[in-house]
Amino acid sequence: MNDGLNDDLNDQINGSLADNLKTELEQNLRHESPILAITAKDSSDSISEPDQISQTSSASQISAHRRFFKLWGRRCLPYLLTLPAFLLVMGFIVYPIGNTFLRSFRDSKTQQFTWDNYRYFFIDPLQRDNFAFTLRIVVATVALAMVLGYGLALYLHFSPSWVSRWLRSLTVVPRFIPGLVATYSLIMVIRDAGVLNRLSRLWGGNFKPGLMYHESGIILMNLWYNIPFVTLIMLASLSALKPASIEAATDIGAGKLLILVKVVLPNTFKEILIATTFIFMGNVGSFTTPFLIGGNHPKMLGIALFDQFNNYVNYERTAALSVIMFLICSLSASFYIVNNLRQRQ
Amino acid sequence: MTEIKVRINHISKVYENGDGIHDIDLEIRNGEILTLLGPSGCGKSTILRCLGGFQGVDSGHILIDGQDVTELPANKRPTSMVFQSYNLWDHMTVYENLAFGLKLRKMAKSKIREKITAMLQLLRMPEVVKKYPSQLSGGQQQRIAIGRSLLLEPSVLLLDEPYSALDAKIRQQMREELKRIQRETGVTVAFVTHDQEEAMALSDRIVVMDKGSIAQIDTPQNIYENPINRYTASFIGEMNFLDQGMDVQAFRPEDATLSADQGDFLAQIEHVSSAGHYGIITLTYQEQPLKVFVDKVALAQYQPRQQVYVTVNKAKTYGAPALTAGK
Repeated sequence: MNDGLNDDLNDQINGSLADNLKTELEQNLRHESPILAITAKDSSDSISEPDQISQTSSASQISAHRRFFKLWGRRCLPYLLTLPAFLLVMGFIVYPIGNTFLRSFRDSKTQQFTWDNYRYFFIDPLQRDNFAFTLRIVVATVALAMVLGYGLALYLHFSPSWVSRWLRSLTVVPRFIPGLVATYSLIMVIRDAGVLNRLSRLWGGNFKPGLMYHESGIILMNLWYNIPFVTLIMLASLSALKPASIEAATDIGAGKLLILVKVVLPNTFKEILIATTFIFMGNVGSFTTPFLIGGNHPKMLGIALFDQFNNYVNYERTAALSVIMFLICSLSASFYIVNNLRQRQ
Repeated sequence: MTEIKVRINHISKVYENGDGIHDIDLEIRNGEILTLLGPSGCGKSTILRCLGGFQGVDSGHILIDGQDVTELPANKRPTSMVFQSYNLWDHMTVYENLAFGLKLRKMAKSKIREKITAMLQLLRMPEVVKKYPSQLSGGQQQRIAIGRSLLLEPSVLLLDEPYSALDAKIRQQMREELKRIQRETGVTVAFVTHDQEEAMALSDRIVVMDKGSIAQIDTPQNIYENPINRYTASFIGEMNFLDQGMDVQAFRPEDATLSADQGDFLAQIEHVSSAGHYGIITLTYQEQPLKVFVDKVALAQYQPRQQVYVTVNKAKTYGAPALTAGK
């Protein structure tokens, strides 16, 4: 008798529990499904919030909408934030470059596809001189700046003298002087009627440096700028080199030159590569220095580009030369990137 | 029998800031491990760097194997140094690191390979030969650094706090390792450390340094039993100091016993703690702190604030604290 009552009661309780569970599950499924459809990942969220289940239908409807926006807001926000920068890059960098690229293959009159714009720069003797001239100056600048800048960095790093300390603070000065000002100042010194010439006349001579309108003048100016740059980069690299690793090499019996080749150079190789790439790229497109110091022929590519654009108003050839210069620079950049990747492995 | 490997005759070297070493006189015997021990700035590393030729001396002479090396640069000396860290060249493999010095000595390639294989066998790590230093643990790197030095068969192997960058457990293993390698090769070792435990565990003799001078030279046991002054006494092991007017009585925590009813003097227990295999009891006597080690079985009978008698079984007496150096 008692048992039967109990069973009845149990059934009732179980039944209501099961019903409740069923409706809850239905509600849950109905209102959670849009979110579940959007992302499978978020399903863990809905499970971990059991109080959501017991809410009334309308409340969970609102909450579902809120969650929908919360979720999409969270997803969209990064894109919204990067949108202005993205539009700027697309509008002012990607579009002009793409346009330039297409234009370089276009005939100025017929608008048809042509290789002529490129052919001109590789066939015309004046333009070929410009290429050779530019490469000669850039290679000389890179080589001299690296050797002299690295040497200076070694001296500054390893010498404890007051001269070294003084020079170290001087190396940052060129960074603070505008290129144009520096170039004019150097011209005042090196031109044939400049400071050097007048000094020589004090002693009865008549020294004419002959650096103006000549590649050596441009290289000199480039070095003025790039040696301190190399020195700064190499100093940072050298200071990461632990004294113990040099002392260990000394201890084993290695002389100075061997330590330089076997320990110092390999440890600073990455920065050497960075400095080389940066100087190379910076000088391929240099304008101020060759414009002020360089002669009428041959010209550096930056000046040749300026001529095509401003004097000859030939936008198609300007575009072609731009693409060529870009390719030269990206060649050196890819050299750097490939080496960088190899180092990381 | 004990031939002298290194003789340091009255060397001095004072830096611009006043630190340095003053009139150091020291002999290192053939085949021993000699430890230079002291707090930082006491000049222990300076002595080692002078020995290795990384530091010139202001005055005095250094003789190795009877030859005056005072004026020789590091790369011309029959010594080899292992530094605290960054010993190995990161851009070279372990093999290249080990081979570098041998190549400089114009050794044949096959001979180099043979020697390196034997050395890695001695170090018990032949599997690392092709690895780069960054792929090794700190302890492994220091072992390779020791191997690189040993390959050059130096008259003296100099170690400048080589294990201080390693954690305590590895450090203990490395000590055992160094002792084994030293036994097997018979090399003379000069070892610098600020860790008295390391010095005690490792050394045949310890040189205790104090402010650029030598405080005491002796075997670890003798230094522990008979510290020459208060400074050494406080630096090596634990020591109680009882100020008694003119003199200071010093005794080790294990050289005193406690008793409930009889002893030298009555002191109050402050704290009772267990160090596992023994108990540590701190007390105060005439407002001076004391520490006594007791058997772990006896530990239960002592409580804080209890009055007990202390009996000092073995003590040393030093001059008044104002007159002695150190803490």
